[in-house]
Amino acid sequence: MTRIRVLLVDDNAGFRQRLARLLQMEQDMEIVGEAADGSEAIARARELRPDVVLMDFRMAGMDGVTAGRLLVQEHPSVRVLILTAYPGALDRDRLRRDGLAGLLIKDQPAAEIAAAIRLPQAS
Amino acid sequence: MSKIRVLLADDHDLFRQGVRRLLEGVSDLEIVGEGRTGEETVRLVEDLVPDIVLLDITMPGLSGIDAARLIKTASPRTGVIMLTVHADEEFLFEAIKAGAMGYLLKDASPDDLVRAIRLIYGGEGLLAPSMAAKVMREFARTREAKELAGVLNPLTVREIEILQHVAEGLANKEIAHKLSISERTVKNHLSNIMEKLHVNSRTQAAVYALRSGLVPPPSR
Repeated sequence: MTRIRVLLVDDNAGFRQRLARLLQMEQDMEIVGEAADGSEAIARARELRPDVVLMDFRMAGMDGVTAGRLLVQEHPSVRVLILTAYPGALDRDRLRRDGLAGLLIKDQPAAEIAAAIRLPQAS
Repeated sequence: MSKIRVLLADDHDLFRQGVRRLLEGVSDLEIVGEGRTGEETVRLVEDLVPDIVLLDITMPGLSGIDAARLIKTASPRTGVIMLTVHADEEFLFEAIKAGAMGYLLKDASPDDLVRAIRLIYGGEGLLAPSMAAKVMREFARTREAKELAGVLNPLTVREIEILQHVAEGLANKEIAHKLSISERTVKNHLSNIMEKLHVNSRTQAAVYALRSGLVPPPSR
């Protein structure tokens, strides 16, 4: 069974590890790699060719949206989902116009994050 | 000041006497009785309604697990702490399912025992960290883990973080301090977690999380 290949990007290692463990329980996806900032995300995406990238919005250096935009330009079939603790700070329509697939709240249940990963078009 | 009323249940006289002597010196605890078999212990619980039962897992006759179940039926608010010589992960999960809120090895220190009694009395569950590690090794990444995925993915990352600390043996106050949130918030998270997992105690929740591999074994 081909599993959805997911790259996790967040500057908080503890958050990354916990989210990875939650998502690894889903049978139809696998975490193929992790990154701690935007430029590392781009480098790893080139190596790993993930299907989906979960990208933290607020990171030091390159922020998640900028990195996401660059990723999508380089790999048009990658779906980039922005993860944020503060949904109000971001405009979903704007994100879509930038080619990003969607917005997720960091505090959502893992089941909802997994569902968003599966959708061909997340909202 | 009302003391925590403790019932001792163990078929080894020497062990029971040793624990009695230990706890008699503690000002907020009171030994209300001793049982030498599972059946005797259940009868004593019905009569005395203790706050806490220290229950040996292997007594003759009624098994420790069955005794725990009967105790919880007879007196739902009595906290049951299971004591065992061997770290046996198969018993751990059965004990938790039977309603035991704590599980300690008999080689635990006197301080650990007193602390466990106070914690369970206060409504908090406890896992011996060395037990948790054993459970993790045996059950992580098994078929059962996959079955548990559906049960566990309603949880959020924050909730997993809290379960990690519960599995490490931290009390709510300590978790609150570690995460820089209020104790009230920790309790709210735990209520939500227990509701999502359909369990009745924070210990049960932590055991699910450990068994599935979702929470790594405590490093202590």
